[in-house]
Amino acid sequence: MKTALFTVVISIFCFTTSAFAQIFTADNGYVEFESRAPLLTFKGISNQLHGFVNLSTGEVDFYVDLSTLSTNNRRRDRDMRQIYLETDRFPFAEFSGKLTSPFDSESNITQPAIVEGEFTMRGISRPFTAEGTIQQNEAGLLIEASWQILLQDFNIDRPRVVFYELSDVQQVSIKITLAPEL
Amino acid sequence: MRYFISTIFLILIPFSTAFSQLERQRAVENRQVELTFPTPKHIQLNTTEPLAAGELYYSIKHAFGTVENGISDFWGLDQGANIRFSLEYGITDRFSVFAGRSSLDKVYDLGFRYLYLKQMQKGMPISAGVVLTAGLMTDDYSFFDVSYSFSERNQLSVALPVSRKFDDRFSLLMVPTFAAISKTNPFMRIENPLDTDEIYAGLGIGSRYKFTQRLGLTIQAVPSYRFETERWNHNAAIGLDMETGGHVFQIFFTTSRALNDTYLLASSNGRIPDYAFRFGFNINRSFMLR
Repeated sequence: MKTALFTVVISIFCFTTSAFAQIFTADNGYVEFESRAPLLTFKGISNQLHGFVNLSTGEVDFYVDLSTLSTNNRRRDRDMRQIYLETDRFPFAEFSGKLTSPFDSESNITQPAIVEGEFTMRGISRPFTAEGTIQQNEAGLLIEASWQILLQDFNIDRPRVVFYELSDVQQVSIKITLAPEL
Repeated sequence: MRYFISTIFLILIPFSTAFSQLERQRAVENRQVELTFPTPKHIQLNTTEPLAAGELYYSIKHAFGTVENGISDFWGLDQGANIRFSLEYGITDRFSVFAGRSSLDKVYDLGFRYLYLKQMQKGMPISAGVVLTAGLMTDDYSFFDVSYSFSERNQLSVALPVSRKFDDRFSLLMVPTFAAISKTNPFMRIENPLDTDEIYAGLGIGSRYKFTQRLGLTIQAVPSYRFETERWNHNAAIGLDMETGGHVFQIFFTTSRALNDTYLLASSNGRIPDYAFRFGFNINRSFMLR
């Protein structure tokens, strides 16, 4: 009995240990959006992108507190938080899904990656697919991706009077190094 | 044995949570409440809305003639407007300086605004500030055959706005205001002008209710007291705030054509039942200089 129990415990421990080596997290990733309107192009950035990747299951989870976004214009930031994004009610932009492309964890070259899941902002979830790259390096996993979102998809009321200052199409890019969980 | 199994479960619990979704955590739990009012002015009252450091705020304000004559003078628009231009610059996130010019009696003014309390999501329930304005009345009274020296043209006002944003829609503002005019004359556009110095005190009350993210109903009432004549004066206004993302437009009907603090307390107010109120609008725009 004792031997069997010991074997089970060791097996569980080994499994969880190996599983842990497949888990990567970060809380200081870079995310930016870029708005290109006829009269104005501006970027908003945050260095507080949180990320989680489980290579064994393919689970991927990212979120950023939208109130940390800065466009280098405090008046615009204030309007962005209070009027456009309503960050008190909807604090996060988040993505949860799965890595659907194959990934060779033995290789340290940059590999193309595809994730599929749901992107949620302002309480609205949309099916989402993004293409990017993953590279395994000494620090962990380096992930870079870029995609477009439409403000109208998330019920963001773009001002009609000054539509030429804010584009409906926002180009979003992320760059994040996720460290292995030990 | 039970102890051993319990230990295993205790070891496994954190492993199982590690596989779940990341726990969402706010970067800052207690933020400053923002945009209690969209601009430093609420119709004709000062607000507690601060400028950001490096922000240049420009506004142009108008108050036309009374609407009582109807279409014959196009509801007061033909009577000409009191127009005020002003520029305000944020030195810090709490302190800003401004300069303005109102056409009513050709008053130039300089002043500063300091926000000493900021409403927080938790804790501090209100925002409060002080606005000090020094004005110089420059109208030409040579036809009046009385000369006015520099010191007889001075005006001073202090406003102490206190506000609270109750929720995303409703904000309330109270503005105790005091004003002094070094010398008035019969041609000044104030209520019952006398040939003396004048001191006024008033309590401005303002509120905004937002219908949508960009459109809000605004109201204002300013009872004021004139110490020399021991008489009360009553201002009232109702309007709309329209936020366009770049500009903030404020349109309103008000009983006074005052566009600065001193004249808000001192100038005459029409009676609403007599249609002696007037149309006005403010255009506000901000620019970041640094």
